[in-house]
Amino acid sequence: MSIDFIVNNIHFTIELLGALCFFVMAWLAVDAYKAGKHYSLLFRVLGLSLMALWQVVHAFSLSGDIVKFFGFSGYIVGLVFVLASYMASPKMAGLSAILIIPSFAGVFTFFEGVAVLLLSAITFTVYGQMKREHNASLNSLVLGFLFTTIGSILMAISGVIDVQNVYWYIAHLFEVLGFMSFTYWVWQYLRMRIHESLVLIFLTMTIFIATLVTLAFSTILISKVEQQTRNNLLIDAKVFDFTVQNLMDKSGAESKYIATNTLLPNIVSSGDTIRLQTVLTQYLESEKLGFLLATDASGTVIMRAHAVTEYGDSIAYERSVEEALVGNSFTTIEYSPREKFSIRSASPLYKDGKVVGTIVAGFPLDNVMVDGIKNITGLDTTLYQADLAVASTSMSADGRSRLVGVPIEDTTVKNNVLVMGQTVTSKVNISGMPFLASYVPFENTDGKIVGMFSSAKPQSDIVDIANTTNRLTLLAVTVILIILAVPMYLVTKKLLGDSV
Amino acid sequence: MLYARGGSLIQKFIPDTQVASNTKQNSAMAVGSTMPYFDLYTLDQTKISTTDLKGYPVLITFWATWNSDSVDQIKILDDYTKQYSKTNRLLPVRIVTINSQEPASTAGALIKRGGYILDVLSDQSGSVGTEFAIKTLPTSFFIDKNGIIKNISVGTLSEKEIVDKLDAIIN
Repeated sequence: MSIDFIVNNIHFTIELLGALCFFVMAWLAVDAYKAGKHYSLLFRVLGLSLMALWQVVHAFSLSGDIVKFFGFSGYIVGLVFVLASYMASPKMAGLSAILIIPSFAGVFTFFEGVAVLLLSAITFTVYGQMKREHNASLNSLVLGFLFTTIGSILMAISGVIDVQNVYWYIAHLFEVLGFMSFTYWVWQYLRMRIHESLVLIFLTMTIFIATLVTLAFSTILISKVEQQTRNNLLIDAKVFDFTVQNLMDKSGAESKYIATNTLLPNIVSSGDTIRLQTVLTQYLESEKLGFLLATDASGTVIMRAHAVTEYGDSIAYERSVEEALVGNSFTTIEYSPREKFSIRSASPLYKDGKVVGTIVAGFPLDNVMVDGIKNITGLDTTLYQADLAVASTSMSADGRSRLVGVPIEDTTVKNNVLVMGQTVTSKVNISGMPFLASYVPFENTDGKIVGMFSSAKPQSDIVDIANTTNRLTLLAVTVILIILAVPMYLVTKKLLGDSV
Repeated sequence: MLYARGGSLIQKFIPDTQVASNTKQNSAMAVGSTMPYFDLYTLDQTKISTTDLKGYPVLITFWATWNSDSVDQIKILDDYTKQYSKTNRLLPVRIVTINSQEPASTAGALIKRGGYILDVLSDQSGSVGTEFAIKTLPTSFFIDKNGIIKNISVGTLSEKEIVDKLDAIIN
């Protein structure tokens, strides 16, 4: 199971428990308002409700700038209301404590800075109230806001550096401490008022149990999804390997077949480029080859059917042509300046028992090829020549160009795949984004590893599945538990009523 | 204060003003002019003319297999088209790609290898490209349902840029 999924679920649990805390605190504020009828408590109800709502949005990592914007705005407004409720509370006159505002709050982004300031102010205000009223029961409430403030500061620092660094984890730890303090504060009231708070207790327990069930279910499901994804990635990489083998067989057969044309040796040796172009173009189209060219006896290109204006360069040094010039048909995967990284098959042209030239047929290992593979498998595919991406279906951040020309950074993958020839599936970073990817090496005909294929799926896709699962499961389980809890609540209420 | 922070987010939802590029290439082929008449054959020998495109917003992209930016544009257009075909929705525009000055078989081989599902017209002689005053590949023309050219873009367009420009001609 990937660390991203585990972290996502930890985040989900913490934020949802936070939502539960704020919701219960809002409920208690409603009860307090019913008892005291002071308007400041209405602000508190509203504020805590908005904070609970933001926690839910944050728990489900809902996407979309608008949702996050309004969610966090609601959180800020909620903090303002909570602060106002404590400041407007009847016994707030004559504070003697000193408010210390973190000086570095100003370096954070605007929203995060405001949240830190407000939380600091609330902590100070509640502390002042505790001292003023000599009310020790507010101690855990003060601690709760203090831990939450520290957590917010650390979360803001984490955001400035990078997401999910050590500050992120410590921030969540402080959030947990804060929520546990809030829970303890709530419990102090609830245990004195179990009868009156029965509904709240049942509702809270229902949501708590639903959260645990959701976590368990999504953990089991996502581990299966991840395993299935890994299997699919591996299959895709092997499909690519199979396709390449087929193309090598085809190009080998085609170059031999074309070389049997009895006219070609005469055309090549006479240098009749016009007839040569006609013949080769016909073969290029009829045999559906990627490219087709002819060389003379020295290995100099005399005609490219796929690029008629480009000729005269020597490719005698290429492995396939080298073999063909001594009379052997040879197919391999290699790099050539014009056709780039490609499957190349060369066959000799004989005239009077002598090699007078070669025919080279083949297929480029290019972006179009990987697009074709993706069309079949649905997975993003990248082709590497050694450790350099030369063809890919993945697009860069600007959405206009492909992610090619980028060397693979993971040294473990490079070593295991390119050196040791193993197939590897692992989490990698591609242009700063985490992916789950499979890598399969491929060799040329001489048995040398010349590159690798990779099939990848963004890690965010798997996390998105987890979040969707969590949302739907939580809703379903909550509804089911509420239905089941109703009779238990009625029985418990009757029993408590009978015991009074 | 909220707007100051949210302003950058709000701006995301206000379309940028697009200025047609490369309008100097042919004064007769500027934004606001009428799409030139043409009739060409698809790779499977079906004849398509501008008459068949009347009444629809149209995106015409000129490309060639030897141009890597063109091939990337084909892929981006193909990905866009497949989003609709996968969910059985009709495309809101007609997307037509015109292969420029190459044998139909060359374009066909590339389309088949890549598994692309776009409509490809073959302009082997290059006459239609001349009518449209094409100087660079790829070049895309965004044409409204009245046949008026609303935007000319040279170079590869991302999917987001295509969607934004298509929204302008659809609406």
